[in-house]
Amino acid sequence: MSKILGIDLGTTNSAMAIVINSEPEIVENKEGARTTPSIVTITKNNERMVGVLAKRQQITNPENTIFSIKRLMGRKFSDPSVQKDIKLLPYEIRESQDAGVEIKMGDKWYRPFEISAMILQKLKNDAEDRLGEIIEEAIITCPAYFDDSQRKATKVAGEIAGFKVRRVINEPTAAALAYGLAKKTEQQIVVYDFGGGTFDISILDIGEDTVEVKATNGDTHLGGDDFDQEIIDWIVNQFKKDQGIDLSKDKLALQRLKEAGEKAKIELSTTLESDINLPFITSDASGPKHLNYKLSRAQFEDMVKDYIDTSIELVRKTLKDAKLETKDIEEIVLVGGQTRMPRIQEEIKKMFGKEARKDINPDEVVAVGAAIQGGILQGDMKDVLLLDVIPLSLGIETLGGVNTILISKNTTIPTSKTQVFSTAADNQPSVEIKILQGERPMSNDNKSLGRFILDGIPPSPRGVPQIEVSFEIDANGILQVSATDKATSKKQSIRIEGSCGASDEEVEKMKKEAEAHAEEDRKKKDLIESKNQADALIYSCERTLKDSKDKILSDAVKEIENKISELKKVKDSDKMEEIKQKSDELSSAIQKIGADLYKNQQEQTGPSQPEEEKKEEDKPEEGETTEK
Amino acid sequence: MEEKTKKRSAKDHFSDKELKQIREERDKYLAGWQRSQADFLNYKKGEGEKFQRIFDYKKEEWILELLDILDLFDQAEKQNKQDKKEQGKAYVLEGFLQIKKYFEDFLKRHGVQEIIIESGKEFNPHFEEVVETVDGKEDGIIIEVVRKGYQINEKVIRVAQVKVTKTKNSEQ
Repeated sequence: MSKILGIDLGTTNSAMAIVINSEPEIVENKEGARTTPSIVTITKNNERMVGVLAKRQQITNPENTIFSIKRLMGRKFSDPSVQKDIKLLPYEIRESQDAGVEIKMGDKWYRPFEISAMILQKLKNDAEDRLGEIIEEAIITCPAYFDDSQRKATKVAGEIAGFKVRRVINEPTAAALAYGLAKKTEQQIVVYDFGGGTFDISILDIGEDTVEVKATNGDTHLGGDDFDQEIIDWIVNQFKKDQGIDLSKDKLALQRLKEAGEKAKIELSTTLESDINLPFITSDASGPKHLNYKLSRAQFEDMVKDYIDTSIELVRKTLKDAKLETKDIEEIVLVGGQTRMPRIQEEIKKMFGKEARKDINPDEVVAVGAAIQGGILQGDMKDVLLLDVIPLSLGIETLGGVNTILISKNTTIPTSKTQVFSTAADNQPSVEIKILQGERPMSNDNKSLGRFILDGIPPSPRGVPQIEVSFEIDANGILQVSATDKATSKKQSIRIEGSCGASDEEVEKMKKEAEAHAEEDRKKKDLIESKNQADALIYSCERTLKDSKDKILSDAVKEIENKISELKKVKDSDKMEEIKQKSDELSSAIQKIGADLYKNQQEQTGPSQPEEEKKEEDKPEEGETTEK
Repeated sequence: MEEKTKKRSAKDHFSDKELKQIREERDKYLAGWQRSQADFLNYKKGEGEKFQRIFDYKKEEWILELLDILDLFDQAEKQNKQDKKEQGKAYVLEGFLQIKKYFEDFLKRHGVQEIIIESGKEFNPHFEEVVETVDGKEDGIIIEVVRKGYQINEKVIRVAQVKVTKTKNSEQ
């Protein structure tokens, strides 16, 4: 049975995804890109081009390059939005015989769904090439506000392209599916979709078997392109003031400004300032002119404040239409590239008092959701195989109060991990296993999930006993931790329910704290590790001296003892550099002794003989991993 | 009605003990299936992280080579500040052109090739993007390369930006 392709047929860009091994994956097009411009053209040689090839020749052939066709899908010619778009679009549009819309491309007139079919056909061909199999069926998404005639046009477009269209689903519903929210019944979800050319806001009600769109609103002419334009206008004005030259009249300069503007906008999502550096941007009688401006995030946010405020007002209006308040909303999902802007995310958080879902690439989330819908229909996405991940790392407390992680966050469950530990002191009769949840390197900064003691460890030097600690989490998040003394086979264990069930607020809080304290925690952990290493080195040197004192020259013994004493003096301080230095000095001194001991032994026994290799595999070390 | 009939059939075919055994087997297979799926997903994540590490390492190697080029610009800048004579400035420009050659050689060493585009040829969207049109006798003839395009191992990584001709007729 062939797979079902999930398609986000967008106004500016389209994307496609498919479920492989129960996981949705974006399918790249022939050009190797994860999104495809929704642009079609006919050249003077009657060659049809779709996607980036059509976009590259757009300037030379605007009358025959059809873009934003989604704005015209399923609409009547007399529709006010069609009349508005006719003024903005450079290609010819007329009324069809049935009062619909027709577009001229080359010598022929086409219906909007025929143009969309060309885009879908390219996606189909590229997907088949990429996957190496025929794709017969598709799920295609559409805006929640699309009426019957617009949805029918979308379905017909798919059929002309050669698909059997299993479903036409709403874009916000697809986004919710991508985040697994369609399983969470009795929830209200807001989907905030800020794309390149359009803004859509939808409120979904998740029922037992249905996802209902309670209200929807938006602005079909508000998008990230407007934000780029603000930066371009700002640069043009600055340059006019500084140099008296109007760059908007220079097509080539404008092209560079367009690219630089978009680049600066993207950079400002991760930095506080962007450097717009364009040498040789233009020239006049006095010679070449260069452009170099710094744009801060604050300045940029100020430029686009009105757009963001408009979008927030639309969110309020939509909530009112749905007769809901912000506190009634359980989840917010972000869709569209513009939602990467920190200010937008902050406004959403301020409004709803919680973080929005944004882990999935906002340019791809709708296609991913469409693929999941296809997977569900096909039986690829069995509920029982929709597996969770643990949101926070799990570990145990080890020497020095360190959090030793056994299972990292975002590991898919069910899973297990086993690691062998040992004792910290000579003749230690028991070990306490303290189970921790969190990312911070020091035990006390994490949540304790439980603890137990394994006793009856036979008297042994420190580091000799082998205590095997196992973490086992099942698909429901129930954690079983056990500790077994490999010598006596004595075992203790504990079962912890809800190890993955920290509330979303708790998880967020712990993650933020880990980020905020990362540098400080790293220093603390480094210090503890230095101290532990110093302890271990002192112990091993004292043993060597004890065992081999009669084989070592007294001067050398005295030197080692001095070094040990110096290290003991500093190892309990917080001066990590000093601890490391004294440890290195002791380590060098003891290595000289070791070399001498071997040399003496060789001189006594004659030519070297092959020694029986000591079995290292059973020797436990801190942090040694035994995969099971 | 149909549901009840189905349940009765199962009980008719299997004893309680057998049913219990079948359920236990089912649970065991399901747990195994889930575990395989989880192991596969965790393996994928691990491989993804490995690729990222390899990528970051390779990126460092590239950056180290680029730093050599930046050093040359630093030297040119220093020289330019020191030398006030016109002749000196000409030498500085010569130096800059040499740095450019150095950079081109670096790209060549890493398999980057310039896409050679000749003026007078017809525009090809696989290799070029039109950024401006000028009046001409024919449509789509390249008259100037505004920005060069490049490929690595015959894969286009950046198309060239070109000016092409457009006849007055095609502007209707």
